[in-house]
Order: sequence, then structure tokens, then C-alpha cells
Amino acid sequence: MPVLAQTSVIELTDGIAGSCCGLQLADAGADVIKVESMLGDSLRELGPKIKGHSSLFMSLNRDKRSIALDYHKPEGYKILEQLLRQADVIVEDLGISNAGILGCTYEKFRQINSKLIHCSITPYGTSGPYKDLPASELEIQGLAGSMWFLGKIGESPVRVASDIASGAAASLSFSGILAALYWQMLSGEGQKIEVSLFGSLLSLYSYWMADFSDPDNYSGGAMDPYCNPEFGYQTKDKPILFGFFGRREDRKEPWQQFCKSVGLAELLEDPFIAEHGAGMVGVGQDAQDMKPVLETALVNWSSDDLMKITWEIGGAGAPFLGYEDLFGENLHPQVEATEIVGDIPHPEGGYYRAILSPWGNHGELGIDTHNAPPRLGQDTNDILVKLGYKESYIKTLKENGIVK
Amino acid sequence: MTGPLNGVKVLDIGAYAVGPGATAYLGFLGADVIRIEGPNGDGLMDADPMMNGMGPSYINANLHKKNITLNLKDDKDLKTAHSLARWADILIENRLPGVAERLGLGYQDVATINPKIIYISSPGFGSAGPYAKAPALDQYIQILSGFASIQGQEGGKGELFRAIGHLDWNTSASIVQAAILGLIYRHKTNIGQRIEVWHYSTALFLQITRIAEFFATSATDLPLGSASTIYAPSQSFKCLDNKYINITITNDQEWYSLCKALTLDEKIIQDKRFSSNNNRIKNRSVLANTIESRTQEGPAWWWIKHLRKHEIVCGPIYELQDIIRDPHVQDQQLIIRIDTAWGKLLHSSHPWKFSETNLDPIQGTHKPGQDKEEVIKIIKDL
Repeated sequence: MPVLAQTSVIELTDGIAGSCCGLQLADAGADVIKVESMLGDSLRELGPKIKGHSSLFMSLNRDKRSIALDYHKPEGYKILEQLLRQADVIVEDLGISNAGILGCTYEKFRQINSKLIHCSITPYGTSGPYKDLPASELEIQGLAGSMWFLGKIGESPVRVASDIASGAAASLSFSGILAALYWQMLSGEGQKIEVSLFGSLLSLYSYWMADFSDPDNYSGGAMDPYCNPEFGYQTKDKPILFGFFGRREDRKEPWQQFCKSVGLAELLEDPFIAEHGAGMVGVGQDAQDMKPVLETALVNWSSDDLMKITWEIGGAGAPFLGYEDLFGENLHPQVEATEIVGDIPHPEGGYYRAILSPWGNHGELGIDTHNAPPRLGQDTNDILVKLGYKESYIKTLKENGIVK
Repeated sequence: MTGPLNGVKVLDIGAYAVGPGATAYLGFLGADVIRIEGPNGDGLMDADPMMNGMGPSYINANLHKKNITLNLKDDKDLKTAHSLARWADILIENRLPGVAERLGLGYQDVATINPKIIYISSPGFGSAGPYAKAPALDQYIQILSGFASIQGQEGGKGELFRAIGHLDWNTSASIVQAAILGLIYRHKTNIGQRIEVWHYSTALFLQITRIAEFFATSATDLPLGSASTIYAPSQSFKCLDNKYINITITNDQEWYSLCKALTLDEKIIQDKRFSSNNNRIKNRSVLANTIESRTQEGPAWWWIKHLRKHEIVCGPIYELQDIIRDPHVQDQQLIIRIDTAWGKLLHSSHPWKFSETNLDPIQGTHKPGQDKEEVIKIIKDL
């Protein structure tokens, strides 16, 4: 049985971060009820569609149920309250002011259900000058420094194309909820968790901040924001990156062997390059300076051959692959091996392809059969009936625009 | 010790960033972490820019843990490692497939001593597929997973994200999830297990939205510079001082507000090409030129103040020094300095706030082998 088989989650979120957190809870077996506004999650209208359904919405909302209700109205709020009475977790991204107006605060929730874990996801946090400032993926990337490490000085800026700010918040809110669930099992108590997109991305970025701990000592290195864009080494076909592992002294021999194997033996006549060359391949300014010299030989080899040579002498590397190479009709064998691409039932019948949680298929943790992403309000009736609502009253609620 | 994982014991036999990053996060959440350092140290120890003789990436990945140096080829040291494996609830390793086994700390070795262990392996590219045995560094994962292929100047080639380590830490965060899932599973069933979290898989999961778009259309317009695939406008615009600001408009109402805030012509508000998000996406470049012709009339800081007054989603593009000086970052103390044996480490504060299980402040990294006596005592008391 999946880990969270008896865990009930209310997802009161719109867009990517909260839905992605809910998705991972669902992948771990939780019963996730997506509480949508009467208009539905805004993602339903965004991105390219497959048979009339948003690919973005479907990728993040499979294996959940949907109830559409107007929780701004007292009858709607009462339904939310009843759902929370039976829930273990609520994930919401209403924003601090909005949540206060709607009565969606932890103080209120705790009175309803003291075991409830309330995870709030906001752009910048629930206090401080930016607490009410709206933001999207792009603004968070800009503020957290992501765009500093892309593009070229003097040219227009470049963002990370993946939704890494939302991804970081989804990942850290999910782990925060899991930790709180574990504590709840031991103590019987719920609590509030706050996670922000900005704080999450900054948290992951401690690794590069570390390099600037002493600005006087900063010397570029592998993660150089001021370097030119890195496109890899030209080969006969696809560009590659490669390098040698271990402590400094362990890298010298493989580097020299590499030079001999690819036809760059004369480079080693320079004692400095023979000694320190391993530090001038790969990424960073030194590597970019040295690149044209190496490319004179590398262009004679295919990327596959160069990988073989590199691996044989204990080095490592990879080619630059695009989405066509990886996710075309035939999945790339390495993607295939991850078992992370699933065929999920489509709401209109048939199947669509989606990415599954990364820990799901390699342990006794996750679900192995999947349900189609719900239509807006698909489960409203079922859920209300289970809460004890009579069909006639549900009909009245629908007529009054309280539920859909 | 406080935090929701108070009392949980974690053994770190990882290398570089991925495994150690995960155990650091578990430590922040309240777990007690012991790291076993090999006699030759770790590959990150001499990664530039060195900080008083230690690589800052190593210091960063090994905060908040105890450290013992063991030579696992030595029988006595291996015995100590096995005792620690008995002590632990969770063990995390991210060596190449087969290495932990060779060191005598493979899952079978550990499960024999401690059947309830939650044993997490994070083999870079995975334990299957053509790259199964290949060492994985962040940059190789970036280029083999497609992550790098979709970003860059519009119409140009895909470029590497030069803040190399994002995918490493993204994997660390996923390992934390798997570890706690394993704990919850064990709490319910009394059964431990081995879980694999592949670096490569977590990189694919991070691209979930972009891959979904590709599966829908079998094509991609990326790279698109600073522009989003989902909304238009959602991109950077040049200002009078040659700095750029980010602006994102997610619906028509916000679009009208932006037109007003930029005092754009009524003609533009009525322009059919910009009448819906879909139309704005289709006409992205003419839309961008229209907006930028206005933003270039004022400096970036002024536009941000002005647009925020109109509740437009917007923001600056920061470098580290800007982040540190940002009023919100300062007010909320989002960037901190942690005392370590090699000097003060620049770091961000905890990404979580828990109302009932407050997290302890982050403890500085210990020197390799610093906690030998204490760790030996822990084993003796078992």
C-alpha cells in the first residue's frame, strides 16, 4: 500500500507550485481533493491543449478529485470547513491578506481540527515589506539571482526555462508537510508551515552564495556569472561537456591520457598544461579560454566516441540533447530507464503522457495505477453526499452558484 | 534539538553535493546527522574559490552534522561504520552503482545489521540505461536531461545554467522527501526499505511543465530568452538606464491595468492582437516592442515603483549584492552568515517556518574527524 494511503489532503491552490506539491502527495497515495473556484484553476485555460484539456493542468492535477465551490459565500465556506474537519493536510496559496479576509487562517483552522497541517505557499512570505506583493515564476527568478547566471553581459536577459521557483516551493512544501505529518503521527498535533517561492529558491541557492562568502577571495571558478554562455565543445555531431573527477592530483593522469587518445598529445609538451590541464576543461572562464584548442581535435570525433574514450579513462561527460532527442516518439533510452514517463488516462478517453514523481518507481512508496485529471467539479456531488448533504440541497447549492 | 524530525538519526556516506545536501536538510529539520568522511576527503574540499583552505561548496553541503573520518578498508573502521549503520534510521549514499557495496556498506550489508534501515541510494544517471555507470555532475545532468536545451537567447542555442549545482540541490530536496516517506512507511508498517532517487529523474521532474507542453505539441519554441511559454507579456524589458525589469501579465484585466500604468494609447488597448493571453502569446514580439518603447523612457527603479503602485506583477533582475541589500531580504533576514571553522559562510535562512516545531539555527560545518570521540561514545552507549 502506498505510504500516504490514509492521508486526506485539501488543495486550495491555483497555478503551478501548490498543484505540484499536491501532485506529489497524490503520487505518495494521499487522497487529494482540489478545491477550485467556480471558474476553476487558471491553469485549465493555459498552455497547449490535448483533446480540449490543458496539458499544463493535466500534468499537475492527475490522481486528484475536484470540487468547485465559492468559499467566499458562507454556505461554501461551511463546506470547506467540513472538508477540513476530516483532513490531515491543507495546502493553500491564497496569500496572507486574502486568507485573512476569507477566514482561511491557521488560528481558525486549528479550532476546526487540531491535527490539521496547514501549509501556506506565498510568493515572498507572510511578513516583511513584500508580503502582499504578487509575483510569478519570472519575477522570483529575477529577484533570487537565477538570471544572473544566464545570457551574456550587454545582451537581453535569459530566464531558466523550467519553472524552478515554483518547483523549489513545491518540493520544499512537500518535504515540510511530510516532516509535519511524521511529527503529527508521534505527537497527535498539527501545525502551520510557511513556504515561499522566493525563500525556497534562495534556500537551494546557498550553494553558490557560499562561493561569495569572502568577496575578496572570489575568483570565478566553475560557477561564473560573468562568463559567456556555455554551449559545450563542438564535435562531429552534438556538442559535449566532459571532465575528470576526484581530488586535484587524481585528475592529472586521466587528463593526459585523454589528450593522447584524441590526438592532442603535443599539448602536454607545455608542462603547465600537462600538470593543470584537467582544471581547464569543462565549465568556467579557464575552460572557455582553452576550448578552441581542444576543439581542433574534438571536431574529428563523434560525441559517442568521445564519451567512450572519456569513460574508459575514468572521466565523465555527456552530450547536449534537445527535447526531440529525449521525448520524441521513441523516448531516449536513458529517459526510458527512469520509468518516470507514464501513460495516464485522459478525461476524454485514451491516454496522455506525463512525468511521475521521481521516487515513485524505485521503492515501496507510491501509487502504481493512475487516474485521469478531474474535470472542474467532477467530484462535487460525491464529496457532498459523503459529507451528508441531501441531493435536493446540493441542487439548491448549484442553483445558487455555491457549488458546481 | 527541535524540529519535526527531532530524534531521527541519519548516517551520511555521500560525496559531493547531492547526498550531503540531503542530510544537511534533514539536519535542519531536526534530525541528528553523522557524516562518515573517507581518509582522502571529499571532491568538493578543493573546489575553488577556496576559503581558508576549504572549498565553500563542501562547507555549505555539510552544515549541521557531526563528522567522523573512517577508512572503510580498515576492519576496525568498517566495524565502527557498521555500528553507525545500526544506530541510524536513515542512511544516504550517492556513489556510483556498486561502490557502497564495495565499501561494505551496501544495502544488503546494512540491512543484515539493521533490517529497519531506510537506505537511500542516489545514483546519478540511474541504476539502469546506457548512462547507468557514468559519473554524474550537475552540468552533465543539465545537458543530458534537456534542461539546458530550452533556455538561451530567442532563436539561439540552448545554454548551460552557470549556477552549476541547482539540479544537485533539487535532487537533495527530493531525497529528503523519499527519506521522510520511508520514515512514515516504517512508522506504519515497521518495515525498512531501499529507495532509489535518481539525479537524472529529479531533473526531468523539475521540467514537468515544459515537458508537458512538448508532449502536447511534439515541438518547442524554446529557447525564448526571458519570455514565458505560458503568459504574454512575461519577460524582461529594457529601461532608460539600460537595466531590465521583469513584467508578467496573467489575464486580460491585468493587461488593461498595464496599458493604463504605461499610459499606452487607447488604440493599443483595443488592438485585437493583444485582446487575450493567447493572442498576446501569438504576437509576443510586437507586444514586447510596444511595451519596451515605453519602459525605455524611464529608469528601472522608477518603473518598478510605479508599476507596483498599479499592482502590476513586476520586479528587478538581481545579482548577489542586490539580493543582500534588498529591503525584504534584510527585514526578513533571508540571507545569513554562519560561523564555521574556515570563516563566515554566506547562506540563506531556513526555507520553512513551522509553528509548533521551531527549527534550530543552522550549526556551522565541523572539521573532518572533529567528532570522533563523541561518535565513538554514541556507539558504545548503543
